[in-house]
Amino acid sequence: MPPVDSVTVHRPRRWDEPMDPHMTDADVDWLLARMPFAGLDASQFPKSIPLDGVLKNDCRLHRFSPGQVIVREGDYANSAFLVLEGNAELITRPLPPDVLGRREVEKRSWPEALWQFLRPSGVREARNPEDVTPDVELHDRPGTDHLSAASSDKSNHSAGEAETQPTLFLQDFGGLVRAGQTARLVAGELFGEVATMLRGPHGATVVAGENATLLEIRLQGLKMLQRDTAFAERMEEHYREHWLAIHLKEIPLLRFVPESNLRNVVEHTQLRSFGRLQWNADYSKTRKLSPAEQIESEPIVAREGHHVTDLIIVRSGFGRVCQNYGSAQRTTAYLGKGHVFGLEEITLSVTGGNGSPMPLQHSLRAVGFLDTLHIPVECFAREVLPHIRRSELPPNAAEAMLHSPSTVESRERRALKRARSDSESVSSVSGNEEASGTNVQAKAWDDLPSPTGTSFEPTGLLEFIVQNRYNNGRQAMIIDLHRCTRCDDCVKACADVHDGNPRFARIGNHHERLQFVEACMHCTDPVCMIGCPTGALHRDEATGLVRISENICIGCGVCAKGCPYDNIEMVAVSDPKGRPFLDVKSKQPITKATKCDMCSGLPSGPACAAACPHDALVRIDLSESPPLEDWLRRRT
Amino acid sequence: MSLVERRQSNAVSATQKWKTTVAHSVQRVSGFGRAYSFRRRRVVAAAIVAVSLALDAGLVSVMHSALLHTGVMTGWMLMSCLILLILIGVRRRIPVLPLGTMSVWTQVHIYTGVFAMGVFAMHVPAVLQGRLIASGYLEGSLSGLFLLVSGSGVYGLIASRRIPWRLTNVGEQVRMDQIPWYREQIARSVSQEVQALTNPASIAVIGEFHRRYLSRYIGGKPSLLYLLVPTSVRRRRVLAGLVELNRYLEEEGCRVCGRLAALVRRRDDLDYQYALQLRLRVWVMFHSTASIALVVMAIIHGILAMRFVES
Repeated sequence: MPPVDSVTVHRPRRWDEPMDPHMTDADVDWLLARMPFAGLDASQFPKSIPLDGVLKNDCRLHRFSPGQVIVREGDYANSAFLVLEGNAELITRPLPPDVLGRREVEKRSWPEALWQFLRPSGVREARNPEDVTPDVELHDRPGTDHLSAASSDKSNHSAGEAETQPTLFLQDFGGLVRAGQTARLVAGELFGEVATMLRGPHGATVVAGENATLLEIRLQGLKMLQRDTAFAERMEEHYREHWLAIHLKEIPLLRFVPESNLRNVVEHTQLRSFGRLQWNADYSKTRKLSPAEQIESEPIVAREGHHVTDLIIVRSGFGRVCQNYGSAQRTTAYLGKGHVFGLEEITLSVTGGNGSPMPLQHSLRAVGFLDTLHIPVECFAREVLPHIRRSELPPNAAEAMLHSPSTVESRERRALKRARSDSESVSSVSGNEEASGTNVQAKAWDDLPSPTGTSFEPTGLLEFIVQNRYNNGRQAMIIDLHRCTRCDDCVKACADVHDGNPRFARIGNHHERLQFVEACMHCTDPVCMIGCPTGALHRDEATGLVRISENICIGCGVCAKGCPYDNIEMVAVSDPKGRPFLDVKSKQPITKATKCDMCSGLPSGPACAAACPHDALVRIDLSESPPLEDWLRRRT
Repeated sequence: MSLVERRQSNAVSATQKWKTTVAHSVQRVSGFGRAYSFRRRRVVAAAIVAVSLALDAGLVSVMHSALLHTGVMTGWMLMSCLILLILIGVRRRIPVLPLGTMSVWTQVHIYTGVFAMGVFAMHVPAVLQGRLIASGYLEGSLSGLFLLVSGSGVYGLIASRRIPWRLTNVGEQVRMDQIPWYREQIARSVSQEVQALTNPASIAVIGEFHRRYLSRYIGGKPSLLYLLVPTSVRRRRVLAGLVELNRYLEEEGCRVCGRLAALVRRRDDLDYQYALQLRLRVWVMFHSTASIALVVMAIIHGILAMRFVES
């Protein structure tokens, strides 16, 4: 019996908020009659989450007009699309940003920048009319009356909220098709699933062709559909066939592996996911836990002391490497995309460096969300290890490789060969040229990401960074409080270059002498982008910065709510005379998302870092540890 | 490392070892050998200033021997230095142009200032005669102002290195503009604590203490003396008073006293932050205003001196 003073409420359920509230049972029946859903085994779905429920609540039907953009290259994906009827065209060449409705920030010239600086509008958040409304053809999304087209016995329905969102039509779409710059996707083909599963950007723009009816499946639904073995196998097969080899090649450790070996690796590699993809939803709670509690709450990927069975490669997300210490665990490093786990143990086990198989020396846990590739030890030893440069192996493993009986003979041969080539190079190449060549090579190696991650010292700083997920930041703003005189010149400079509107305040968590300021970090995993309905929030491919195309920002605030660090602010905008922009229909103020843009329009770069007179402020990449280590080391 | 190099490395002589040890020591002291460090920057900049001053002194000596006007040369040097020194203010106010980072400008400012002090000693004959201030109203004022600006510059350099460290180690990291708001919050919390008392003894004892001492401390602003020399005297007195009250209070009243003591400590930390941040800001204003006055006076002095030289 509940206590007398309790309040009774309904427990929230999975599908309280369906993706499209207008999906009807008739829609679901229609879908179930079509492939691939007709071939799915409904018995493989749990009773609480049946197949028809997934289709009804995690999917949305769209009927696109010819030339209408379905997904844009560079937009972060939260759902995949299945072509049901008609066709879609995948654009095979990159399109200019303005064609896709994005207005790229152009670098202002010196005189322009100076002129604008000397003549501020004096109005809070002033915008020109062309920055408030899009300069591309925008229409209300056409009603998803697919059913009237597909079968006349089903009623039309309004598309509700989604339909009011503006959509984009590609100019001269027909010309691109005629020029052969598109690849056709026909009924039954799925696209965008890799970007969705990996939380990455779409690799290409897809535009609707004739009579295109598509089913949008959000990530949660996509994961559920994978419960059907055939569907999961089909998706995995698709990934293996088209993407896995590309992803493996991108890993520095595997770059010298020959094609034939890589094919075997692709065949044997397993794909796994850990943790919760929407980690930002729990972030505010988990960051308040003590490090020990947080470590305990993280899903374990590999446990210390167990036998090593796979080389684990981080495909996306972050992993925490920790080690038993006393009665708890302490963090020794964190891993990001492309980092590997278990390399030293595998190498020592394979080469017999310790005389017996070496168990894992650390545990790996998923920080929020972790997507991994697992290469079995035997496959790794056979196909990959012989092609890894010794300098890229951990020191102990490299030493073991050096003394491995199987390599002694070949090592001697290589030593003699190198000695010969040394003497040849001394006689043929001048000393300076040789030195510069070596330097260039050394620099190239330095540029490579560390394959095993690197640890910070002391552990407290490392745990603070992981605890607060600052390791997500690629342009995190850090202030050294032992050098900062609190003059606020950084904030003033930011305001000066943004027409009097600073894009950050000098506040934020601090650990010992380092303050992590609340300014956009242009994250590795930019969760703010995921829900953006128009793609206004996007990543600049050239610079990697997360940008806002204000002209297509509809002011919905999804990004501001999604940013776990509260670094995006919604502001009502006015014209340079101070008159607020209002919506024609609702008379509500027009709001736009604002955040740090790294002063990308300025000739001088980020004004905050340049304005600090005491070397106290830096914009730094925290997804790798060396930049922060170097920065701290320099401060002596 | 190649096989040839590995073989060579085994035959390191004692001389080479000694050279390596010396090289390591130099690297450790100077910061050389690293990509970049503050230590290395200091050593390089100080060396450049020392060499420049030595060259300048040599030149002055040669000119003096040749019976030339060394004052003209050192005067122009000083004027150039002063203009370079005040340009940092211009750079600070124009963040939109790629004129280099303020950090670089600050380093140039510091070492140009040090160089200017050396040139000043060569330029003003009184300094060489053991007097700091030159004779004559204008020259005396000018030299006094130069020393004031130089002194404030040296103080600023030390303060900008020491005060941030002190700020970081005391209390929360609050922005100066937010401090009045935080003070209000603390004052409100104190009032709420006092008003929430229910025990008559506590109301009498704590209420009287609040009326006579605590409200004045919490509601008031720090004194000018505190702003100049922030000390913990006031805080200790108030805390001692609160501790003294405990013997007259029951358990609940003691707990309230403890919470009030925490608020007093917080308020004192805020005042400390305020005093130090204010000091840094006032220093910048003072130094920049005095620098502008110095440049104006130096220009007047220069015009007069050039007229004298020409005549």
